[in-house]
Amino acid sequence: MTTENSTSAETATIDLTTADLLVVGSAIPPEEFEAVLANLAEAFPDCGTTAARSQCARKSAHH
Amino acid sequence: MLKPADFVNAFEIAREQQARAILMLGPGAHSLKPQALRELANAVFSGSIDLAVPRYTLPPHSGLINSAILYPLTRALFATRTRFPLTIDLGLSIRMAERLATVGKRFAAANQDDALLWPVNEAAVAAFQVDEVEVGTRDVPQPSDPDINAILQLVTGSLFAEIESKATFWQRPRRLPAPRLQLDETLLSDGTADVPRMVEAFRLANSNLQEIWCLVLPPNSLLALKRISALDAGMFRMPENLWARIIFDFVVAYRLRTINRGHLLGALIPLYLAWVAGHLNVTASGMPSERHIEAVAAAFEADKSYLVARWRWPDRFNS
Repeated sequence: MTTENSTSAETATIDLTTADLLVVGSAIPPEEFEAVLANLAEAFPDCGTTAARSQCARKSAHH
Repeated sequence: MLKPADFVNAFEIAREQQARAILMLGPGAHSLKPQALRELANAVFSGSIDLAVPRYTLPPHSGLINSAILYPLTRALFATRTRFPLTIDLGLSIRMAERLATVGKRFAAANQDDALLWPVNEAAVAAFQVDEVEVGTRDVPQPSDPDINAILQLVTGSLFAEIESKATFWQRPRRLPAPRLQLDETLLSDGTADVPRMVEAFRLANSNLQEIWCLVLPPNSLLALKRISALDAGMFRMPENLWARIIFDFVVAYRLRTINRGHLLGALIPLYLAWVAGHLNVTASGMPSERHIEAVAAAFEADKSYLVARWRWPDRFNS
């Protein structure tokens, strides 16, 4: 099942398309994944925090 | 921890999205600093590295199963300096991801979802480039069952199974790459409070588990264990070469199914506690923890030929 902008305690994915980097979080609770996204946005400032949630985080998947 | 199915899923999505690299993060990854994430990703973006493995800064006296068994055994057999082969986070090139996905499918088909210690070894077998990235501190996920017996059996069993499945690879001589990262020479605070309890558990096992240990260990190792069991707790040490032989002999017994594998790994626990007691005493005496762990790893490397010989001719060990 694929959903938009959602995370899962099982597996969640986010692709930073501007960096061609796929980031996969495994067994990360949603609130922790939010913190990971914030850190990723800081790590890749071209995306920015907002972008990490709207443009870069275009797609996440539940497995 | 990352499971085989995670690698299968990651590669499928990476292919769909035409990603150039993958960052896989496990529970607690929110504690990794942005710079750590960037460096992990950049390592695989560089094009020269296939597998970027974090080197964590852990609290004092933690991760000791890794230091005692997983790291030295992986280093000696797979010729890699990866300090944390039990991976929680990873950076992957696409070809590394494809390889791990292929193997992950095999594990899934064989119902081996508990396979833990294989990505680094798989990279070694494929002759892919592995590099370590210092990422600083991280919250380490706590196992659902904090029982040391269960943890030791799970992770050690996983590595022993890997060693069995990749025997044709590691039996050949391999050159260990030169160290790239500096050794942490930090002196640790005294952690010897539990040493008497650990030594006592070892002494008890030295009386009660002789029948099982006799099936696994050669007479000279049993004699050496008897000698160290007589040491006072404060003076207790596990010689590095004795520890390497003990682990090698347990690897062989695991392969031969000398006894039930669960019982075998259970019989390793008091010996592991003895190693921990010795390690805590060594670090309390002023040796940096990492320097001692390097000495342990060097002992495994130096004695690898013993494991190769025992693996090929297991019946000869009593002679």
